[in-house]
Amino acid sequence: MSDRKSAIMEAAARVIARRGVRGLRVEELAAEAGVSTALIYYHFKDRAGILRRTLEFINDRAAGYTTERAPDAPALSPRQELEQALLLELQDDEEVRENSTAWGELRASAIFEPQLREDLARATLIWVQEIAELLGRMRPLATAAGLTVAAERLTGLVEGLSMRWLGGVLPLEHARALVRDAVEAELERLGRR
Amino acid sequence: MIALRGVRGLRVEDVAAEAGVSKTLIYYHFRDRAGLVTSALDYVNDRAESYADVAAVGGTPIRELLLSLLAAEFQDDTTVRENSAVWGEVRAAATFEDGLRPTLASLTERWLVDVAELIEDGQDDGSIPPTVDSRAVAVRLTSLVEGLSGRWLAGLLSTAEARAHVAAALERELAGSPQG
Repeated sequence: MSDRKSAIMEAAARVIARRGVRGLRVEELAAEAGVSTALIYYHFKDRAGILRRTLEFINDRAAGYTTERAPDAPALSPRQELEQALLLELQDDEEVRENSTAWGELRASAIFEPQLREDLARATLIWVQEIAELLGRMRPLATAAGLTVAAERLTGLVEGLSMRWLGGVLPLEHARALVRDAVEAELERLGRR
Repeated sequence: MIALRGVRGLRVEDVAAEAGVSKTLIYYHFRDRAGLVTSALDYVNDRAESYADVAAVGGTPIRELLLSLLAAEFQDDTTVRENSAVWGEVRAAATFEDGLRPTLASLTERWLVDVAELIEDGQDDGSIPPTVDSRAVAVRLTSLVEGLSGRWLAGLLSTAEARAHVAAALERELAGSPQG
């Protein structure tokens, strides 16, 4: 991705996190990114194009901060990897907060913007599969269907908790503890089969 | 209107046109836009409570009551879907509009307490293990419903799938965790 293009994506994530999808104006985005509106239209065609690419961008960025670890750090156990993959959205960090806010916004606006749905569905599916795979490493005897529904519940829970955290209704530490307990309960349940 | 366009798409003029009344009347009743959104939220919440009304039909097992209280949001019914969309919108908008937070917090708390109290009733009658932490379970289950609701409204999850997830999560949570 060209530097200008990624500057536009970063600016779009910031504007959406600050003002929401419906607060996103191409003029403001251009000012925030320090480019012309013509360049934005050239790269993204229209507003729907901006939203779709931003969804992709924040999704990739989230994947980046999950896997970012020092090369000499000890390997994570599957359990730690699973918890990390779920908790990455719930962190007291400016970039994470911005990412989670923008993600929640794009998800909420998919109800009103059908063009976004397909991309949202794909991104969600990838996340669910990743979690199901991590669960499968700890519970190799569980069925694929059982792992998938457990992963859907866990990721659904994280989305619900994230919304409450960002809406100021739930403290961050409490949200994180609830996720860890849910992991425990799902593993317990998968183990019993 | 909120279900159709979202909180930020809500303009007092449109609400007036949709309801067939004057803007003045709306300002008279609700004072301002925030007042209108808050009242709409209260309204859908009351409406939701009426279709989730699980008021003890004598002898219904607590687990079934819990399931209806939690899964009431997922129904193939226009009113229910509209209600859920308003809730989802206001929840998402609370990230940007601080004025919405107190109402959102108190309605969320009310729902939580309802669920936690039902769990405690179940513990009293012996149908739910005493080791279950009613408050933590209530927070998790209601958050799960909210998370699934976003996916359901966006068309990523069918009504049957959403309900099945809630039922399975309820079963799992009420089994009682080994470490208490």
